[in-house]
Amino acid sequence: MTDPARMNENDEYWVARAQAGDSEAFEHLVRRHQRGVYAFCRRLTGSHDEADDIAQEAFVRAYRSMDRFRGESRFGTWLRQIALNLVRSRARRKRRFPLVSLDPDTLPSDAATGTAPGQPGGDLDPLRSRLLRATVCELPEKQRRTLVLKIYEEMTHAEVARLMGCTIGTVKANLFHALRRLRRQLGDRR
Amino acid sequence: MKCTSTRRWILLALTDSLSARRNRKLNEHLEKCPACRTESRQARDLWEEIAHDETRDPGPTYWQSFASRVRRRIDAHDEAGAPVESLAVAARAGELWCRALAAAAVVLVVALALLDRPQEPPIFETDEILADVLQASELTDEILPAAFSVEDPLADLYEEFNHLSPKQVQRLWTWLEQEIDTSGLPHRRNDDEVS
Repeated sequence: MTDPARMNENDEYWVARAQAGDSEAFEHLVRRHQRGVYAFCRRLTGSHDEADDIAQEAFVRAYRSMDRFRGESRFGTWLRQIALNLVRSRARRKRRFPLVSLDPDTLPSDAATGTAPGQPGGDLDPLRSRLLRATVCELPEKQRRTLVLKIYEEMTHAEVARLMGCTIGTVKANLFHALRRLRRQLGDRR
Repeated sequence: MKCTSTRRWILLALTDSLSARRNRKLNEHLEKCPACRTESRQARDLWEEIAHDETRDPGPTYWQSFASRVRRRIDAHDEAGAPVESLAVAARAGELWCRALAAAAVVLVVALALLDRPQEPPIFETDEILADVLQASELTDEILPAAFSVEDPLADLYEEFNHLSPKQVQRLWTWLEQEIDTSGLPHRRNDDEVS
């Protein structure tokens, strides 16, 4: 693993250095995965503040558990597993997670975030996009988590099942439920 | 093939949960049925829409400081934990013993209380137990959407799963198999590949 190009491509090199106590290597891993972990948390919680806090905490826990990472999964998957556990435990504590909190309203001001007010997240019409996110956020927790892992993290059924601690059949059932609900709630509002 | 079944299969196909054989049957039906084709296109559009909806990016300022904020948290943890680590470990061990004893006492009291009461069936998470049973029987493709559909007669069965013990689930599964036989639904063949 001496080719600089490969060093940049793979986490393994940086993980090995971080496990040896190199804090700069860990910081490199943070910068590399921060957007993915944050987006994952944000889709699960529907809130910038929650996602910000959970994403940071996930990295802190990863740092403190680096010696336990054996490379059996990708480093990014391991980070998401930690984040998912945090989301779960907070949801258990709160029971009423702020699912109705819509992204545009929970963002800090544009001065703090560097984004323009009303700027759409992607190519969609902003109103449609907001409605879509709100509907996804209102899905039951397991359906939402399954949908996020399958669609946005592009995991296989087996990977989702392993992360969620359930069977592949349950993953398929949750996806079917989620999509049918979204289809019913959003399909006719075009 | 009925249009009601097709519409369930469309959703299963979108989530890669339909076998290759059923995918072929679905496509054959879609070629002949304009209404289901429209339904399929709309469902696919929605799927694409969901998949391509990006989360709002908090902006460059946020990302520039993210790693340093993580670093500060790590340092704060270290500073709070390191100087009194041995004391903290000892205190925590004592605390854990107290909690363990308290938990054991609670378990004992609850167990004694339950001995005097008739046993109630455990409550299952409906989706999981139903999906597990169906998956184990390799009938997922045919029954999964049907069993979860409120329009379907099997919806009653789905509701029942909330209140069943494992033995009752087994008995109900036997009943369900008989229902499948009489309903004319084809059993899933072993050579089916789930794409």
